[in-house]
Amino acid sequence: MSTATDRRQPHLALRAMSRRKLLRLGVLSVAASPLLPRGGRAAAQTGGAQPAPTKTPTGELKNPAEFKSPRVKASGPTTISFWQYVGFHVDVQKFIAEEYKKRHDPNLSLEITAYPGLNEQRVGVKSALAAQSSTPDIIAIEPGAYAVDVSTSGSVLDFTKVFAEDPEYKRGLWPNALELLTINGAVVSVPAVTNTVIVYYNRGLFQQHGLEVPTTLEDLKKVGAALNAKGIMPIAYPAGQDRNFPIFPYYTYLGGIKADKLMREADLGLKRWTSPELVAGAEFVEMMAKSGLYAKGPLGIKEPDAIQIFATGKSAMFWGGQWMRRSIRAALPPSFDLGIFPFPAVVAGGPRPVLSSVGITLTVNARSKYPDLAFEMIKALTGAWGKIEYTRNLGLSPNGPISADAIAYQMQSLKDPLYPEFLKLQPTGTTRVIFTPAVEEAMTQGMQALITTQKTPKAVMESVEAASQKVGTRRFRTG
Amino acid sequence: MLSPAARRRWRRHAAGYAFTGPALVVLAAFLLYPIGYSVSLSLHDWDGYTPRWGPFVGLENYRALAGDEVFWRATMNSVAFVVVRTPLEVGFGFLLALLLNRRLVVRSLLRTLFFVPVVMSLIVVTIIFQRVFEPNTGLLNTFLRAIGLGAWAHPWLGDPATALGAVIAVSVWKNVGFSLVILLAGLQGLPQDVVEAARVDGANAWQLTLRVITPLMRPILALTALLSIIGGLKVFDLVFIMTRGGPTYSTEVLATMLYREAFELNHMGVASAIAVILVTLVLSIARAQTFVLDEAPEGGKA
Amino acid sequence: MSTAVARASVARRPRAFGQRARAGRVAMWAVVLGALAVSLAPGLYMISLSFMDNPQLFAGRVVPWPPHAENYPRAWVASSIGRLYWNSIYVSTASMVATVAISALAGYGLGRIRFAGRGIVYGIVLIGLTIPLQIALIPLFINLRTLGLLNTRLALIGPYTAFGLAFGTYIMKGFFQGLPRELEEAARLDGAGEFGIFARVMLPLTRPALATVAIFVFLQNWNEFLFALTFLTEGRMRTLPTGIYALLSSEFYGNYPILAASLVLFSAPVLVLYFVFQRQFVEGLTAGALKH
Repeated sequence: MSTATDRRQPHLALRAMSRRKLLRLGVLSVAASPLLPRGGRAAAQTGGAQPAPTKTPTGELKNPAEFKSPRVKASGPTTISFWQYVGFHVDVQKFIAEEYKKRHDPNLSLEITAYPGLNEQRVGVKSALAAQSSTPDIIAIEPGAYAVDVSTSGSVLDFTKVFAEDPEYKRGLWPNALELLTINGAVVSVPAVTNTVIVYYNRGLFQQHGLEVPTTLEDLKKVGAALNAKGIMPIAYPAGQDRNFPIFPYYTYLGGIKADKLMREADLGLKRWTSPELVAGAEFVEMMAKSGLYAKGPLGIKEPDAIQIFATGKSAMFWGGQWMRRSIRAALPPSFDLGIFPFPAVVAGGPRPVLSSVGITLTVNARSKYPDLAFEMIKALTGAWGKIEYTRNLGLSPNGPISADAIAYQMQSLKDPLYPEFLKLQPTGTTRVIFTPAVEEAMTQGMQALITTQKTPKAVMESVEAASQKVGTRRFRTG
Repeated sequence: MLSPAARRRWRRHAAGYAFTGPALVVLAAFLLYPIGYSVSLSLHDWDGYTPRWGPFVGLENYRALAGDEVFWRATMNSVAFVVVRTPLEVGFGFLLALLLNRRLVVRSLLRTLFFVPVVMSLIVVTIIFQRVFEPNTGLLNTFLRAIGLGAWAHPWLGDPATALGAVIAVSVWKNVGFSLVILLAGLQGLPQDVVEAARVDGANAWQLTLRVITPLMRPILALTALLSIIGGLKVFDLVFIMTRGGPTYSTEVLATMLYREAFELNHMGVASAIAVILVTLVLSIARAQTFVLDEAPEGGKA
Repeated sequence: MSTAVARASVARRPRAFGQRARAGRVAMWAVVLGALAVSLAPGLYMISLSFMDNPQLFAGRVVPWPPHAENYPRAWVASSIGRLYWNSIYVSTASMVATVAISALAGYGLGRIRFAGRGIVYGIVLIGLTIPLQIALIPLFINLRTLGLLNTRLALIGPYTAFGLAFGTYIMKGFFQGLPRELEEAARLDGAGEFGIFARVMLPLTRPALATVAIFVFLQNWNEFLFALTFLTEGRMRTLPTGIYALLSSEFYGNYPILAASLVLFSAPVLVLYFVFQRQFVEGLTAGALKH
């Protein structure tokens, strides 16, 4: 770890933590729990032969995976560019690129441009692609409409060749994430991290009022009523954050009734959005909006506002992504007892729906001057070694299986008992996105109309179906 | 061989172009070219990714807009934005200018303070107002509850009924200072003999303001209004950062729709058509306004 | 100037006595101070926020006591604001100077020389005032790439100059038009050429208008965001707004005090500039505006 990064993240300095202490924290036992079924297999995949936990002379754990040498190296000093859209990923990406340079290819530098948000980055990328620019070499894209846009227009390269040359690298990535990024039969992008959308809760407040973690929707409503009676808002839900947030409840419900596949087919124009299950999703969104479970005016609330509401105990729960964990922690008073649970089962006996979302994914500009080097850099960022470092810094879920050793190594710096909790949930989640831009837009608007109770669920789904039909036959297949 | 008069005329034309030449070159490179590009693109189909534009489609993009509910919604919102914002901006600006148009030691200081919101960056402004309008812990609702008006507390930006109003309020807040500064300076430039004569004739403050000062101020009021209208029709950042045109298109204006069509829905042709409509709209208003200004006493001959 | 006249005439006004006048004055101050409070409260709240820590903020405090000045050095480091300042000052100033120079020339040409095609040239300037910038993005990107100017400061200086130019020319034209004809004729009799008249006689008189254009354009350049983000993608070239906005998605996301501190740092130079030049600015604004 470079000292520069240490200085910026003081908590990394406090990492001489013994394995026993970690065990006492329950971290390693969690990692070894049956809820993490892929742990054993993962070790074999991520690190090659399973190594014994590697320790430095001071007893400090080391990254158990091998940082593989690239197949291609730069012939002379070369800089490749990378445009991404989440600022707090930059430090760890820089760190991995620096290590890559130090250990494998002294000629290759990575220049990262962090746009403040997806919208801005997309405008930049679109302008660059329209102008047939060779920069950026590496582009961060989102699964869904963005991926469809860049791949069907032939603007980016796919990973067929990379995977054929290095099957082990492919095995290290989550299959369900790759499925999501498979368009017209080829994987067009690989995930850097995956996320889980979850309910955070104020454990202290729950205990104080004798409340249990809800496991069914009925439980949740009861908890909500009890909290409301005490003058505490149940859930802070930042639906005003961006265009995806209003759709989260819908996705969650469809996961709860296992209608993911139906939604995918409707997205491709093969099934109707007015199918009973898909309308039921809209009814759920409306029910939640009317139930009194949300802090007032969800569409007027953004993530930082929701954090404030939750951190001050004005609400007992926060519905949001794993990516918020660091920001939430930073805002909480030291005494705050933070817990998480998956959204309760929406039908009796049904699964508790975990919504996983694939975060930043990486692909290569078709006009890049150095496509091979760009692919090697992506492999460094998302391969076994890089993945463990990435997660050690950010505490977001890796984009593939992870070993107990890796978790122990990561917990030296993360120290957050919630990280393994998220890892437990990760493999149980499914990812739901919409690929057709016009349908995504109709869904965003429709869900807003439901949250503000302006339209009926049926009318909303009819307008989504109308938008879908207007698009006609899709130019792409997914999965 | 040119006559001396013809040579002088020729030299005058040459001088005209010598002085305006640099401006023309810069404007052509960075403004006229994009406009020409947009006009041409608005007649084509293009997703913005493929190397070449799609087929020529004639006025199809315009026809698509005419049949698009969202376009009319955005147009109405843009018009509402201007119709509500401009009178408030110019009205408050004028009121404050009248109040400050007297011998005050602190006038210059007050004028500066009122100008502060104009100088503040939009990013700053939107971040602050997100904190102000937040429904549960926001300053506005907290304040209303504190003074016993809790019933009025409201999810301002989260409700389609109030979102546009809230965004307009921020816009007015940010721009009143600009109107104030122009109008105050205008008041100070009025022919004092006319005002003084009316006062000597026994006009009271109301009569003086309504019958004497306001007519004299007409050209400046019109100019202030014009700038406000142009700004209102072009408004983008404020709306985009605060609401992204939502909830349910309640704050969608032409510029945010343009952005959405271009960068989210990949309809570059349609987006260009919106741009062309927007430019035409603004230009015709500017043109109409020039007539108003030209017949005014102070109006220079353009 | 007219301001002096106004002051003198108001000063001569007999003092109004009686309750009505006093009530009027009270009402006036009530309105002015009320408006002032509304106008300044958000900015003051931001300054206040920038001195809080998270617990104070979350407790709903308005007064930051005890103050946390350490937010400022942290914001400075987090957003590497020093380099951003330099980039912003460089780009904003260079395009401001170019805009002022070119629009002074164009304003003189349009305002004082009757040449064929003047109406068309002025029309082009007016169009420049009205174009929505979002649509210029892609054509400009293509152009700049062709010229090899992406990721150079010229990529911003060019477009910024152009966008300021329309406003600048509009103001300068009005101002030049308003200058008395006699000055020009006297200079012509002394044998001065057109450029000599412009540079030595007319230009010095337009200082307030130049100040207006300078401040206004500088402000616009300083705050511009979309183009800066798209045309300059290398970190070392970044300007302030993009750097500040990047904080929103960084690890300080949701940390309002740090954010507020960086926002104060970001706004301060422009406010200082305005305070220093406000007199000239206001005079220029009027002078330019009134002549249209």
